[in-house]
Amino acid sequence: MRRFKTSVSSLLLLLCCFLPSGLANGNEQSDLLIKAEHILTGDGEIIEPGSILVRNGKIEAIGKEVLADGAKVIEAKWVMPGLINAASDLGLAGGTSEVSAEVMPDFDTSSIVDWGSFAFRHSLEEGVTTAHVVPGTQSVFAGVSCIVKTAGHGEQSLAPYLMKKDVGLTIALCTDPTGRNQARGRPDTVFMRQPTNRMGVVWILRSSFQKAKESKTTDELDESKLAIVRKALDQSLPLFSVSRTEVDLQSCFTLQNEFGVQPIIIGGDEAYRIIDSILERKPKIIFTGLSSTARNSGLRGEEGTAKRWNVLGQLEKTEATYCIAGEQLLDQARFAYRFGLSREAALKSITSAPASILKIDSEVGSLRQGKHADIVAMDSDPMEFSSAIQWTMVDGKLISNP
Amino acid sequence: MRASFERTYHVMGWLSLLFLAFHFNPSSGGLTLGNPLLAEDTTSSKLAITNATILTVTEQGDISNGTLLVIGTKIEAIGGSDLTIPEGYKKVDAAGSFLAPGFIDLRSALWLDSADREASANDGSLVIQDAIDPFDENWQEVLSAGVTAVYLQPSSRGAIGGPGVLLSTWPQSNAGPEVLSKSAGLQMSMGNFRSNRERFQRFTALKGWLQGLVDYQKKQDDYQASLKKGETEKKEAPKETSKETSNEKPKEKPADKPPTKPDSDPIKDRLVSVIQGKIPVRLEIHGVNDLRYAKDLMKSFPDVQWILESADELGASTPELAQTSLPLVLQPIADPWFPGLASSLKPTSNYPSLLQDHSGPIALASFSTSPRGSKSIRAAAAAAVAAGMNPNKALQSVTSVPAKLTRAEDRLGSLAPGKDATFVQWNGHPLDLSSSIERLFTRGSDRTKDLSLELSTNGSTARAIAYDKKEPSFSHDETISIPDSLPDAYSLESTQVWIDGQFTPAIVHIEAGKITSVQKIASGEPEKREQNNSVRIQLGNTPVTPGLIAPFATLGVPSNAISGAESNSLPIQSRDAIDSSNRTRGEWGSSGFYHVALGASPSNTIAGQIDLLSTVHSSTQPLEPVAIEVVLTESARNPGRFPSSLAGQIKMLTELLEKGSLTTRLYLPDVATRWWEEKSKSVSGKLRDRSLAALFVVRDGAELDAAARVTKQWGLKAVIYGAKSIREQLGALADSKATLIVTPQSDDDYSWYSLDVVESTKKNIPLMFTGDSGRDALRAAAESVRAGVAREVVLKQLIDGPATFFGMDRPQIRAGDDADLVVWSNGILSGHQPKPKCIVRGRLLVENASELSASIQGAIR
Repeated sequence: MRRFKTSVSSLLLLLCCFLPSGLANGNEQSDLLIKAEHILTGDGEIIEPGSILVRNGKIEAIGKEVLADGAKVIEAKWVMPGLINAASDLGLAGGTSEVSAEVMPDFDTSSIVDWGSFAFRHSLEEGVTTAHVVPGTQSVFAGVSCIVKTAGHGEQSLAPYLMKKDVGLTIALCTDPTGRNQARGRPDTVFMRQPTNRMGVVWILRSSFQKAKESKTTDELDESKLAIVRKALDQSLPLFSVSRTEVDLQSCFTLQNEFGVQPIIIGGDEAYRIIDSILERKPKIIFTGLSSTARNSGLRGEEGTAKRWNVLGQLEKTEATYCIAGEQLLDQARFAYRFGLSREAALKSITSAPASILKIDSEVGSLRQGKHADIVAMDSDPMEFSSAIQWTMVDGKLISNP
Repeated sequence: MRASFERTYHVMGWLSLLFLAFHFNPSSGGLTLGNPLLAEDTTSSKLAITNATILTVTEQGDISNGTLLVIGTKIEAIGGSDLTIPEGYKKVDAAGSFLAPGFIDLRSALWLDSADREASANDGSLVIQDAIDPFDENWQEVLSAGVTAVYLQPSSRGAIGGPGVLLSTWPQSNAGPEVLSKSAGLQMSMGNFRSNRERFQRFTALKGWLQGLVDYQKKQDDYQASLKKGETEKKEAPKETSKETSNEKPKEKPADKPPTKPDSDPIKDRLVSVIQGKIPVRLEIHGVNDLRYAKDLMKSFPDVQWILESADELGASTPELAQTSLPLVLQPIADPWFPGLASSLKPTSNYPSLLQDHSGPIALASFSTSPRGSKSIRAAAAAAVAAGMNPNKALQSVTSVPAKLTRAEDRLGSLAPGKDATFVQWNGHPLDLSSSIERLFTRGSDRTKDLSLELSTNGSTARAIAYDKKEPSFSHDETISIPDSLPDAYSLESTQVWIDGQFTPAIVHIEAGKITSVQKIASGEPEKREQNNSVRIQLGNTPVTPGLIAPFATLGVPSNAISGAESNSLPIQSRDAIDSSNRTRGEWGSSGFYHVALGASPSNTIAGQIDLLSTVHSSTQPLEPVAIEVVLTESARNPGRFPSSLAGQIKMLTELLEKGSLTTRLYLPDVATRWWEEKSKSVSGKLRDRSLAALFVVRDGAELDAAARVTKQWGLKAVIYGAKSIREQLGALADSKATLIVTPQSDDDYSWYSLDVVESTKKNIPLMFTGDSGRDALRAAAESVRAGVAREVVLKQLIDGPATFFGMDRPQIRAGDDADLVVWSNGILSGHQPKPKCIVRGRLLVENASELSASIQGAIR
């Protein structure tokens, strides 16, 4: 805690040296004009050089030449939108899953975020300004997700805040919920319960969807829970499905056939194995297991690298919707670029693409007029591994970076 | 790696500060930030601090209205107001303040790399200096507690660990702490053995090792002597050949072989001066058998300078040590060792009598293994005062004695000309726990800006809430005369009687266990001696209050005695878990807390109903439950049942508030089910209409946040216990109108916790205070004052807060009420209170325990 405080205050002081003194005085009302050599808008366009006018936390204007009298000017080299992590457990405290029950659609992630968590600060240091917080995968119906901004709340510009709650219902269509359960054993323990394998997981999903369809409440599935499942069924609430392996993905399609739901896939590690049906159905995919740092990635050789990463290129070609999520977003995008994705597409996959999947693209994800002024400035080309983040801006508030 | 990384930022921060100071105009903030640097760059600064009470800790004693002159890094002169201040000195008026040397902790873990805190050895080979982590940032916490030097040595697990070192708590630039004394001590331990056989082995090992040093020294001496001898012989012998003969000479005279050089041993070379007493030996002992073996050891090596450490299990054999005049380094006194707990005293330690009777020097040390633990040294000294140590001696025990025992007395430990200008300016007596630091100097430089005393970074502005130059609470010479047994009718007179929420001069008349009248005395007016032939007890400035209430206590009741099987244990009532054998209850009573709110077990989310228990009346009809305990911490999460997550806990609570019924997995008969539902409904209603309070047990930010959110949503009358980090939730907390229970800092807490408490009072969050014992609860209140909460606010909340919150009609100091009073003979917040005089229904709470009252008398003396 202490280290954090010290470094932050030092950094802020350091920052004061580089910025015009008016900014250091914290005059928030004044406009900011960011003059950059290269602006990557996040939706494919590059403006070289260009300017962004920031007013009241929003982007007022962007273009080659922006007129702004009296605005404080900040010079920058490369700027791009703040990154969006479309699948994280950022700041979740007190257990990411309610492991005592398998059907917990009313597990509300927005109620258990620790707003003082350092995870926000770490994300911010990686350039992430917006994050989708999904529940853990210990329950089949894991709960509802929320979207947070990693900074920018109120006067304390470092404070994170809740941007949107009830974003979607998360289901764990994988073997995670079976981990604690056992088929054999003393019958009086609570762990003697379903599901104990993947079939059980699918069964719980199928039976719960069926009950929701028929409005049939049970002890496990009371009216409040049922209402949430029903919303997911009639697609008024997006459905996120954590599915990583080939079989998981196929089960997703099965449920899609049976109930007409359109799950947004979180995971997709083995998408390359059923690439044909994926290209045919074009589900929205949030990739979390592409880089070797992610879980469930014991694969070596091209199955661990080239085949996985190449999926992105194939999806891009067919104009499918996908994005990259998880740790070290910028590095992942750089990998994708190395594996053949275009510069624009790689950047899109961590900015405007996640925004559109999460349906927040009207507010964040690209540098366009009227959107949040979430900006990351870099000293060089973002797609180069040697480039470093210079500063980050969230809602028009400048957050320092080393 | 990480540390150095962060450190770089820190340094960069200062660099940027420099930058700011030189490049920006003063109005943009450069002025306030630039200040600390001024002290840095003037190496020969001249400073005069005037009008302070100077506690020199030398024969000179205390100087009131004193002046202290600093030149460069040293103290130049100390004197009364008559001391003339030469030209060119920057004058600082410190009227009302106390100047005292910085504290020295003789057993600390600051600066130690975490991997090396437990390191030990049996051959003296460990050099603790090698384990110093110069990037340890905990120094700020320790320095902010007025501790300017710490002594480190290897862990006492080993027999002979190696030499210790005395270090500054201020990191000189970024080179790490300054070594203040290299020959500060040698760690040695008698071990922690049950049997004398093992103890004897250890004794033999220690003796053998020391003998080894003696032999080693002798060999070296012999060698030197024979070398010398050989040389003189050489001179005497006729010089036949001049040069090349030197090598062949021995061969010519085999009988006259030159002495062979003894093997050199680097460990022994380093420590051989121990046997001449040049490096003191710190021998840790615990029980009386350790002491006896230690005495044998000391007899064998009389030239060694011996210091005994710990001595915490002497029990009834304490006089055996007290008779010696050996220097001692003692642990902080633990609550069970306190006078007044005669029964539990003997088996472990008779520490108070050691403090009072020992004729040799005593130093107090924190013995903490936490890097921030040294900050509790002041509390340890205050507790020693409460246990009967003379206050001057207590101050010496954390300043001059430690300096002497670590051979740093020529620089540290007292305020005298020629010594280091390392001292602290307090706004009250340094051993009064509610005093806070105004300024701190190390080697002549003002370090106040670097302390974590304030939340805001705008250095030179006034403290968050102006502290008051309060009453002199350090009034030990004052003899208060409450007889050991009180008559049926008497009156108490004090200038500080708690009436209607404030201290007022008054006379309280008591007869037959009731207060018959309360007579206020207008200040200045010669008091009218009314009628009354009753005994009048003059209490001077001693505060008199009604009995206090602890808003949350566990009374040491084991968790399983007070928990239900279900995570919804609404029907559990905490008073059912208490029985007459509970000693803790009486201890709260005798420390001035006449009621405690007894919490239920933290292992269930809806833990049960909290009852207010009387700690002084054994047979009173139980009061109605005052609160429902809701546990949002991890302790109530159980993967085997609902809820196993915070979200589940919130859901369960919301269900209780929303529907008034709770689903239970228990299979109950219909009657029971109906009763259960009715109970739930009624509790739910009472919570919502605020006739019943909700007590939230939380720990982390998200839990606190949830408690505040639920409180606000349902408009609950709520109180929150257990939060250790409130900074991020201050807004939500203030918004929810919940009350915050403050507990004393533990060794591991950061001091910004208490700064957050200050901040919370600014946001009008009401406070209440509790802890593991009555002394602890008072310490929590004192720490709040120290951090900057206004004293009146703290006192009012301490005395009246819980009664108001729980809506409890407890006896006040007013005519007609029960005469349940507390006479705080050494002040309420000073930390020197051994046990207040507790009057219950007109009688002293403890009357016939002669041993007890003797020890209290000793303490007050």
